[in-house]
Amino acid sequence: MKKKFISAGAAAATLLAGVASAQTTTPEVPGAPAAGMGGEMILNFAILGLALVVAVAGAVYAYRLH
Amino acid sequence: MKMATRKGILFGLSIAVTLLASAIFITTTIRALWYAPEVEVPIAADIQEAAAGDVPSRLRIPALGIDAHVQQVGINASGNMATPNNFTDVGWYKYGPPPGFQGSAVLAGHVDNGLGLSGVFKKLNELSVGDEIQVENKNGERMDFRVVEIQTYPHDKVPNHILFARDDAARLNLITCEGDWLQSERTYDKRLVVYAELVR
Repeated sequence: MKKKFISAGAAAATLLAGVASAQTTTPEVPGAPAAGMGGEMILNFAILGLALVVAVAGAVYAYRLH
Repeated sequence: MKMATRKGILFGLSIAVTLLASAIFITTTIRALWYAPEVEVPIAADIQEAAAGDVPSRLRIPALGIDAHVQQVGINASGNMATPNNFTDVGWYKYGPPPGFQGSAVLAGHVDNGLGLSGVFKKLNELSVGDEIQVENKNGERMDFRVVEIQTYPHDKVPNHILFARDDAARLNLITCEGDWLQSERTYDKRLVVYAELVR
């Protein structure tokens, strides 16, 4: 049973590796790079704000329990 | 006893939630501001790599006050040129010619970071034809380029065969993003390309 899992994993890894190679058969002319992340600003601020609130709330709750 | 157990579980849970939220806060801050590496894929074909000394190490653009370290970048999983792993360095396409050799050496830099703050090429659109660009390689040799053309393209209409040309004059092409953010594709809708030619 364990061997079956291992061989299935190896097959999947080979398949994935094949896909990755197929994407780069003409490296002389790649696509243009995407060199900017400013559009993620709102999402990042939302994640930071939410994470900060949860972290502070969790810490305060733990402190009161203790 | 039951009350104490319940209190212990709640305490453990609140600590776990606090740690998880703190980890998300820290990693998001780091990725947005300082370190955002792209996953690069190995290339299938044999490409002759540049000699170690010919690899560019610094880019200077006096007109914009840019003096940046140059990283070597390859290709990402989408088949595009990868970008530097931070917002202050520029990336040289390592499977193309190095600056000063026949063909177009391509350098990419971020226009901004994940919190909207300026990246190394934020002011690239302020360059003018005739401005000077300097590149220093790992041998310490300096090459001077002069801007000859500045173009803006839709992000999916960049003439990559020109941008990455191998058989033209010794050129240096700088590229960054411009325009409006396309949420569906998570990229800007335009690319700014500065074409420069070797002076000496």
